Amino acid sequence: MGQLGYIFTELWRTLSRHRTLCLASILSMSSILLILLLFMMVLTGVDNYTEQLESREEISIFLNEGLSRPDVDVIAGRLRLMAGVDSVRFVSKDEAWDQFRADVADEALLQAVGGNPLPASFVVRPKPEYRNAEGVRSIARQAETLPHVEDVRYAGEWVLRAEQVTRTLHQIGAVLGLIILIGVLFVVGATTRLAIQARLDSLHVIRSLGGGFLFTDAPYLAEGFVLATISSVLTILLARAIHDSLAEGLFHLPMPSTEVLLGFAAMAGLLGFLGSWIAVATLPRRWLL
Amino acid sequence: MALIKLEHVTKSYRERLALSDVSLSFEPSEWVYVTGPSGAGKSTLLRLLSLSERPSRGRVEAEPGLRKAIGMLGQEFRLLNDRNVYENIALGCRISGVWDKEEIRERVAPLLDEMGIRGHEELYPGQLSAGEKQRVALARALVRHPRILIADEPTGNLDPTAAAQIFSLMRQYRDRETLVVVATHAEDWTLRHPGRVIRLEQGVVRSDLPRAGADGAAPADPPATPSPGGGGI
Repeated sequence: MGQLGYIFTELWRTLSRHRTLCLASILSMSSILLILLLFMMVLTGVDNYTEQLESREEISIFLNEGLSRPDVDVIAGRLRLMAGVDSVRFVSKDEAWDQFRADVADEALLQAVGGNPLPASFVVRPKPEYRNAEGVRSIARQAETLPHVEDVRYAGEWVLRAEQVTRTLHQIGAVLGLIILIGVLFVVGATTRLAIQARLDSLHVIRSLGGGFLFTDAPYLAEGFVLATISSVLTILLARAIHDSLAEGLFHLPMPSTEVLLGFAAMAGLLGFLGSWIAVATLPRRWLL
Repeated sequence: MALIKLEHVTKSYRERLALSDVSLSFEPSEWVYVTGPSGAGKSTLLRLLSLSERPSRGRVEAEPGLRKAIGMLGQEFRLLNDRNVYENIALGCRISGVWDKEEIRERVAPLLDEMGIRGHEELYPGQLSAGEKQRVALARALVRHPRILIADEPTGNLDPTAAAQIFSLMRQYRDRETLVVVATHAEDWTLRHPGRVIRLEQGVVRSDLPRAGADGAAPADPPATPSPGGGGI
């Protein structure tokens, strides 16, 4: 049995002797890690939604009724000259109605509406560098100043709000991550302390025989790492189950990518190692005498 | 050539002076008793000899690599209760840096015979008698092939028969170039197994004398090898 084998044997000895303690530790860590992982999933969903909003960068400019063709051409010309405008497409009153009928596809509802109430409009597509909330908003503001323009609609406002929400959520996520980091360190540290306390007699014997780091510290560091890694795997499985159950309903929580999940497990393992290390390094001196 | 030498060593713990200006030299194959009343500094001297503590003043000179070749035996057997006899003995090997499974087996096997605990390898300390526990502890100390065997009141918890067995087993190792240092209150052992006797009082060496048996000759040692399973489980 090599040194690594010895550490694993000792680790197994501790895990099997303190099954209840280890199980409680795993469940505690899984609970707090699950909060973080679910929050990460919500954040991923919000990020995806924001990206979708950002892709809806087209601006609809609705015109007053009864404009002549030359008036429409003048407005089109002025739109094309605006900073940030890539293309301008005219949608006549009839085209809008046809599109509405195709979308609704409910004859009874269409008959209830009666005649065509929809105005003619321009659909403006911004240049790539303007395809964000600020860019879309600046084009919309210019368009509002044009004559014969009744209303301007764009998704930019929503994008801006979504971006603000996302930023706030990221900040909350950072704080939550920090709290959870401390929580994992605390749980692992407490578990390690209890495990050490339960084996103080053995530790004293090993120390009296001249056993150093490999015999007195390494098994506990490995324990912290393993417990936290097991907790993270359990957390991922729970998150997966929640994801699958929600997928059957309307609400959808996207599962992070495999790389992110591996990073999550590695981070948890590292936290476990760190928690144990802190616990071992700060053992009360009277324990070791 | 001294195996280990103390030169004007003083050791104190906070305000308490445990040893004062002690100078001693120890050779291989020596059989040394450290005697004296409680608080005389016996255990402190043993800790300094085991190189587990440093002196407050003075010097401890030891041969290079000696730290890994020191075997310790105490009054309390200090076995790991969650490991069987074999694993307890093998731990001594591993701590001294021997990790090869085969080499550990080669070191442990003869000791099981010498200590009369062959067949007990799979037993746990809770299943052994006091004498057997001390023999396991001695095997754990000897498996490191110690150049110094330090025993602090090794027979304090044993009945006379078991105590005699432990002394006999330790005596064998004196004959194998091992320096054996025994701290004891029971000065009758110094008569039954003659050797150098260092008497400490209040942290000071009062005497350092070679001593023969009570009648001036070395008495016959008790049987070297106890009967297997002696003392019962």
